[in-house]
Amino acid sequence: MGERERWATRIGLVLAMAGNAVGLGNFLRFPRQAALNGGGAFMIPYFTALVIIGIPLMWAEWSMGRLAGSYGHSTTVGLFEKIIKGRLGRYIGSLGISLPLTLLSYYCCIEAWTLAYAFFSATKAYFGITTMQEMNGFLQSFQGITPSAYFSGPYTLIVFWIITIVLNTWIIAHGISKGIERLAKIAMPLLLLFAIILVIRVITIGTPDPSHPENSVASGFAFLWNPDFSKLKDMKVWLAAAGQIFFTLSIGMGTIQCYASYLKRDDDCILTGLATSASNEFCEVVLGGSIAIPISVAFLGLATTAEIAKQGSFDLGFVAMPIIFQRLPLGFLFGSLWFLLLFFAGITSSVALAQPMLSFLHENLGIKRKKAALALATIMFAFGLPNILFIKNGYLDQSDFWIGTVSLVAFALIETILFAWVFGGKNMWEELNRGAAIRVPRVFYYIIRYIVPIGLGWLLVSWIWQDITSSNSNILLKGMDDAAKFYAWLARGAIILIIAMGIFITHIAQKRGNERIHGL
Amino acid sequence: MNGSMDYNGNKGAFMNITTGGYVFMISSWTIITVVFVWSIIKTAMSKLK
Repeated sequence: MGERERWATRIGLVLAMAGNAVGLGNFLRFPRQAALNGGGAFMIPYFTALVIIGIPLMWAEWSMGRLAGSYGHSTTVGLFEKIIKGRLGRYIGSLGISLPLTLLSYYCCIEAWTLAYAFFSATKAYFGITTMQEMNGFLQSFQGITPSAYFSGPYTLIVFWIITIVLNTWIIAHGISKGIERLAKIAMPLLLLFAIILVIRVITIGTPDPSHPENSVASGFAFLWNPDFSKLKDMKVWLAAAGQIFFTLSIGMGTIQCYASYLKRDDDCILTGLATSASNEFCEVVLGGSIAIPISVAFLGLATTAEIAKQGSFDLGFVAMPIIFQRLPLGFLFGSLWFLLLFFAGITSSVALAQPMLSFLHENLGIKRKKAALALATIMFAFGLPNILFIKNGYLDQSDFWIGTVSLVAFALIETILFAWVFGGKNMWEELNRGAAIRVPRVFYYIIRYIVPIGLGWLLVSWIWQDITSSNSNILLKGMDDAAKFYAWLARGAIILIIAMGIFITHIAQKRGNERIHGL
Repeated sequence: MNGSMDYNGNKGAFMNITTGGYVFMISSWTIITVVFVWSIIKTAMSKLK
């Protein structure tokens, strides 16, 4: 195999990394979390978590990736094997290729919603539906949950989902610099442009209905930013802030290590890691916080927006926003921009999720990139389809709980312990500072070694505890009928199958490597 | 309601942004924008080795 690929430009790398981090959560999850957890006061635990968990872990993952690249590996499989020095490391490292693939299998389905809704906005397909209940019915029939006059089943969704898979496959088949970097250089500036256009539109709305002066954009910003300091006494608010930071930066997935593995040994990780985090935060706090909630309050009022925020992020994005766009002049255009913005945020993340497995198949098993991309498309299809067909049975929720919540934090905890303790504090510190364009304050040595593992352990234990003590526990399958339990186990089985597949192919790759070494 | 977070489902409720709201909003935006612009410019000016 020839020389490993490299990023063509540093700004392309930062845009690709930022694209990996910026996702649907920046525009839908953050404003909802902030509004429900103390408004402006939420920013105290949010920034605390950013400084003591988010940025240190981001730097650690960048450094781990560059270290893996120096060994000729693109994934945590080879990296963990080097750190632990044995077969166990290889198998633990295989989680860094199987977990993102599992996440990708259902993330593509959600990405397809955004693409479909961009099309529905442009064609005014949902125009005329003016109540929340009807719009919810439109969404549910599109998802195949409840057939209606709009959709008799999830067929339209499946068409957009296949288009999404084809687009993802086409991009990753073109490699790092010609595929992912090129996508990032187009999609990220467009995402920023669309977001800025939408923010300008939102802040110039003022009070859309003079007979209801209380419904205004200013009220929306007040709803999001007025601090409620009493919330800071609630541990759940700190947990929500730490969770938001963890998810928004896309850490604990194995994707950052994969992208960073294409750096050279002495390339900077610190400034670029900081630029990635800052880009993500700009998209989240400055842009994401200035669109959905303020416009929702301006058109639907405080009480309704508060109710929608309590329901969930998707209600805000896919039910409230389509109603609002109909009330705006050129609403079809702004609706298209909003959903295209979400689609760009989604696709720049999904190609990152695909890359660790693709790199492994290509570099460790010698499968040609295009064939590896096709193999991934098949897996995306086979493991993604149940998320569409059984969404009403809680299949997607179960996948998201185990992969999107528990596994990512558990993996981040494992990698931090391996890097900061098994690899060693001195080695870790040297690795972080290698080629650094800015100096890392010494306090981060202690933060990465002590605070990050404790913080991640606290997150993991708290979430598991929250789940098992709730009335609809995903772990204990509480509040589910027999059919729902069956689909929950089906989702768990699919996750176990992908993880087993990851372990199996790492085993095959190792065997082939040994055969090559011994001239067999 | 002049800045109260207690919306309590009152459809006619007003909510004005408070001084504290402005402080958190403007300071958060400023810190993030400054770090974002500075880090992107500094990164863009450097080349991969």
